[in-house]
Amino acid sequence: MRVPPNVSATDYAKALGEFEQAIGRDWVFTSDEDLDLYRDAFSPFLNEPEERIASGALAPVSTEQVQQIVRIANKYRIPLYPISTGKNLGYGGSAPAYSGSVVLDLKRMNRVIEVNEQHAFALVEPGVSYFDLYHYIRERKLKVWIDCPDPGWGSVMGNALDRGGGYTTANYRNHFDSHCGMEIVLPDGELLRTGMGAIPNAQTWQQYKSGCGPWIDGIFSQSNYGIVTKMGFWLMPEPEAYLRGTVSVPRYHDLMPLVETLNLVENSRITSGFPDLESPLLGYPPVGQIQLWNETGPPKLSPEHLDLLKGAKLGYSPELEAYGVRAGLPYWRLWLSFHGPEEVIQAQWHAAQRHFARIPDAKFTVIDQLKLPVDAQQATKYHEPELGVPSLRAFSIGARTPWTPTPSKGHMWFSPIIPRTGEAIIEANRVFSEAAKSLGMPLFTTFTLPACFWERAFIFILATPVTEDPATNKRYREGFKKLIEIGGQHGWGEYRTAPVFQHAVMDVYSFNNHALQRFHATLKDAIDPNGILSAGRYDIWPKHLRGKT
Amino acid sequence: MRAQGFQCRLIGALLILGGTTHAAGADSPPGYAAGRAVYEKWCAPCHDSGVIHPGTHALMTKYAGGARASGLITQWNDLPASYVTFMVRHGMSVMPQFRKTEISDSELAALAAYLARNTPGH
Amino acid sequence: MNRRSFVLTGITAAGTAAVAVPLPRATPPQPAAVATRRMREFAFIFDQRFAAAHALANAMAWRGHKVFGYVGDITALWLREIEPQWARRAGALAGISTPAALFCLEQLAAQHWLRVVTRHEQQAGGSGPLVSWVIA
Repeated sequence: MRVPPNVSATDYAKALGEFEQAIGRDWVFTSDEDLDLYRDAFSPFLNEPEERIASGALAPVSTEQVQQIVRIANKYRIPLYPISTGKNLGYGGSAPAYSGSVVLDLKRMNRVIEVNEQHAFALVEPGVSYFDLYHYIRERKLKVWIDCPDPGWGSVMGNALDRGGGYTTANYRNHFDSHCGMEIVLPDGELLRTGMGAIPNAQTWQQYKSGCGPWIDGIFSQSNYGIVTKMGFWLMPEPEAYLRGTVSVPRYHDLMPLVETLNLVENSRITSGFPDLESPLLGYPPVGQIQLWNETGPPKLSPEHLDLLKGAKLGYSPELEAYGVRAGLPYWRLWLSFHGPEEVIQAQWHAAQRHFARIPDAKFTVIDQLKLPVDAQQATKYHEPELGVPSLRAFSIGARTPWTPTPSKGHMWFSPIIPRTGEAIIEANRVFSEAAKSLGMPLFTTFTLPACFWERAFIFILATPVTEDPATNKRYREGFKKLIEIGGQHGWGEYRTAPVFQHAVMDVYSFNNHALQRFHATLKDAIDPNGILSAGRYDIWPKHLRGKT
Repeated sequence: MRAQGFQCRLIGALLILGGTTHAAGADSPPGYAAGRAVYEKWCAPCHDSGVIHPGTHALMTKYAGGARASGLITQWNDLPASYVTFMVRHGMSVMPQFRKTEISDSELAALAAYLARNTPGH
Repeated sequence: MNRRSFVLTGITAAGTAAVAVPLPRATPPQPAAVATRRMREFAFIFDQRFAAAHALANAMAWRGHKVFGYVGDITALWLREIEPQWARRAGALAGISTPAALFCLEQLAAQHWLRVVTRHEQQAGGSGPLVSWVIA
């Protein structure tokens, strides 16, 4: 039987007995066969000794059972690692940060506690997936939308707590930002509610976010200070209509005013939908079309075009630009989307065009105009999450297709935040393409465009493959860490990362002798003195492990 | 509690079927309703018909030209239950493994029986 | 964003020449003994009516510089970008424009103790000469 680190076999056996009493024997997993189910399916350490594994797994069904588990864990110093739906693939999946921890699998806590149509909010438990919430809403014919990332089987709560994002309008795309109120089991087993929930018989728990006094919700995201057992989310009332249009510009340097104008138009709320950058001339798809390109193949380029692309440096050559003008292929195309009453979104689209028209030769095209709602079948004609519909089509990334005859074993997301400017895009391409080349990594070989999940910043996000070959995986892991460091030298930090890279990423946030990390450690010692909760997550270690791992 | 939980999920899944837009797939004769419900919840988003389902597209690509060229696991006649069980608990390529809190052993048995129903000897 | 030095290049028909930019002072500069050091970059501006200007703008964008275009009249760009920048702190400005536009900028720059430190005539085809320049 596997035993967690720093725990005696005797103590572990006692703890398991008490866990079984608390939650039932059927939900305490100790066999190798059962624990293999908690491996990170996209682990970059696949089958290597350093792969993070679980020593046990527990699956409670209620907040009270979570509290009991936490008290037992404190008694015997059992390291726990909560997961929600365990589908954080590309960012660590269901495996613990501290190998040998006992995974706390919260999937059975899958109640949608409430969806309130009038106030447009939901209150959910950790095991509720985007599919679950979507079906709950559809079954009851409630006129609210979810906002989901690409894979719909992730946890509504878990994704928000890892600060993930989605695809509808700006205020809902930022999943942590759109939350309102939490319930947390603290590492000592106490139950805490935040925001207005701290008032008994609260009337506005999911209506007013910050309560009074310090707003502590943030410390429960990307951290290990508590186990969230309920979380509220603001939902978008179902919009009446949807319009998607593109702004195409012909020249390389048009990227600058294109981004500048996007910032103005987005920050002014003229557009709120997911902005999506594409380069038809460079053959770089917008995020929303990736699944379609994987399904039907990328656009076919002429031999002349392919030759010109080979000769381009940082995505540019005068000959390539001239070819684009001749062939009617824009250098850059920005997709904008609008949700709301038809008269409003038409006006917004017109205003957006007026702003972008300051770029000479900018062209505008309406791609879609839909009355809403559409059903899930109709939504498959589009990038479903942009219409609030969950799907798993994103798993075409890395899967076998006629254009990807060798599938990958998964991927790791490299995701630095860069400034919202055209020059930052070019600079990031320069820095990372040179770095990746010297590190032998198959990244940034063509010009890369960032994603606009967040307002006011870009994510320069790219998937690094996980392969069958441990030597290659090791090279990619080391290269990934080097890229993180190089990004940090340029003032760019990751927004999220898998446990294997969390030390490297947090090391970049080193202002004033790592004041931020020292503060995290101060909180950890106060909140979780026995260090039982998610040791090592985002490089926050309990005292007894600090500096030793 | 577990049985009740499963019943609720089954009812929920059957409600979902009424509104689901996934392809009807193959026949679902009586006796396979439980397995069908598990399939619809956990498998259909990747394994229903058409290239928009990444699992099907991967299998179409892998088995092009052969007996499995449809890529549709609900229609294959050489899919033993043991193989289904193995795939669900181990995953392959970008398909992850599924835990017992997602698909329990009894749900997996029902799913495997459903997918293997066209396979002689199962 | 990195505070990089802005090594400015005057693009000539033959090639490029790196230019070291004189240091501006907070007080009016003395005629002699101006120390030379690399100056913080600000932007590159160009007149969008001319193909040669676009080509140079692309090259500057490729090098990672901020690039602003205008069409003929520089007023809006001056008000929106250049004057606010120079009011906060001096920053080197490079560009390619008609001689007339450069003349205007030169007068305005002088009010911020900046001057044209390099200029190169460019041929713009049938449209008359353009000039590439640096103000610092």
